[in-house]
Amino acid sequence: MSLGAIVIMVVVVGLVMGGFVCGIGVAIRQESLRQRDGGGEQPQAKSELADD
Amino acid sequence: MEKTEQFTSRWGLLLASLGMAVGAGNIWRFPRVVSEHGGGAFMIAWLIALFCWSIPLLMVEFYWGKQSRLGPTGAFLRMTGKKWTWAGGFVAFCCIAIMFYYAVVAGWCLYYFVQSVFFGMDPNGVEQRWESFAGSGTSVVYLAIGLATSVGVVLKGVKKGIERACKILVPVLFLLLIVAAVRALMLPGAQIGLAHLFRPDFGCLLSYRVWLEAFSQSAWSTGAGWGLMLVYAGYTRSKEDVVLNSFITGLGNNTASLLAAIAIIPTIFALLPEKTALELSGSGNEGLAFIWIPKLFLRDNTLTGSMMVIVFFAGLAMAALSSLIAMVELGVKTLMDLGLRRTMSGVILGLVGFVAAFPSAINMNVFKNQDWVWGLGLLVSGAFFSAGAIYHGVGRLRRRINATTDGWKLGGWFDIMIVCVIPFGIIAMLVWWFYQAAMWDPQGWLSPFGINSVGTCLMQWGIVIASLVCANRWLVGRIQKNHSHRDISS
Repeated sequence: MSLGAIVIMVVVVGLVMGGFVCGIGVAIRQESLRQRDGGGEQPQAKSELADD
Repeated sequence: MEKTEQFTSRWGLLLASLGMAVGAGNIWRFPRVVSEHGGGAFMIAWLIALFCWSIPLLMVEFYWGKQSRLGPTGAFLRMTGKKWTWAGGFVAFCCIAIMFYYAVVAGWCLYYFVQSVFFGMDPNGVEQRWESFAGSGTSVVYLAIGLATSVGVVLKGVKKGIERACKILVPVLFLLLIVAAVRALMLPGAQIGLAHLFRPDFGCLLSYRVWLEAFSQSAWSTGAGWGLMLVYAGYTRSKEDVVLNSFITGLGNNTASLLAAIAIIPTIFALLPEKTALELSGSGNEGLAFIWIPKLFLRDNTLTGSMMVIVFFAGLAMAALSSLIAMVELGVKTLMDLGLRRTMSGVILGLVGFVAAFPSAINMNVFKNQDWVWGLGLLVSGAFFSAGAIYHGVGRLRRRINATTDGWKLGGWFDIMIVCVIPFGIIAMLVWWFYQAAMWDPQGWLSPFGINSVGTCLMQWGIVIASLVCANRWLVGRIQKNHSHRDISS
């Protein structure tokens, strides 16, 4: 493999898969903070715009 | 009236969103397109398309869904006013029309999965198998199985149906893709395919064709502008993070595409001479998935090859089913907005879907025509979302997204994408594909009855848009009547 191909592979795979994994990590952290701060908004039986 | 359901957690929403975005196109289209259009250079254009096109559109959909808690038609009424409700109707119709022929694809994937698990496949007979299967009565049976499964899941509701199914389908799909990619990289000679996949052919970036292919792939693959994210976002918490969830969905979809490319392209190059591999990696969607992949994996008649075929078709079937479930849910939600109950909506959609999908199942020309017309129709749907966001006021939309989101906040770049990049991209892509159609058939490109003609697109879109514009007042009345307690635009 050429150096250029290796660089592109690292950048693309790093950005896409790394971004995906980091995004999941941030979401996990947000959820745990929400739980710690009192559970946040629990899934509602009815949404704020929900029907009758 | 039924209560508005919600996903039990953020993970339920994310898995459903990933299931919606990751479809058969990630597995059978992306590896072929990336191999054909410059490898690593194409991936750069594809990544730019993700951030400039797909993610901003996903954010618009997410916010509209979260605010309106309605399907596309109701969301357009709520966000853009009575006059433009028909545009939401077009978005919904376009996705439902795709569902009709996508159910056929899901049936093909299920059939090949069942064949590979229970009956085995003969590497010498795969071409005959495909020719005798496509358009046969058996494909109609598998279409019915795929459609009935998806309708059954949707009828169980958001929590017990969609969320539960995606909690199984999506992790298993990613696991299968990882297994296939790791196995491919362990093959002797795989590095030639890897080098081909990531080749730094930067000259390709000067070709407008590469950019248009990259933007088209991103538009079709992530589900942006389909209205699907809008529907799922209607089942979330009111403070759900629009920005981060849209990023995770877009990046997760591209992760699946990359894994599929890493699984397929190096395998082809490892098992075939380079010249044949180059020809094969550029063969058509169905040809690559249903003829060449089984032929390739089963070539040496090994247990590993047989296992890889099962893994490949299991992944393909799961990706197709999880996307089909999202499309069925969009159709059901649209009917529910008009006042029907979930059960009745699902039954009607299932029956109409089977009848409407039947021509595509028995005639490949009908299938190709519908794929062409409604695949391009998605660009029109994307244009409606972009125009709706501009009409709503992009700056105001961004401030409202930030105000109703607990997590990441949006910057000014979002305005530029919605106002400049997306409208320009839509016009460029439509012109490009119409120009392609004129080149394929210089005599009949305007024929309304051509398979891949400009005329057939304009005729079918025209009929649908004219009908929806005529029915606009009725649509508004039905949605307002059924959701009169909500802040529906008046």
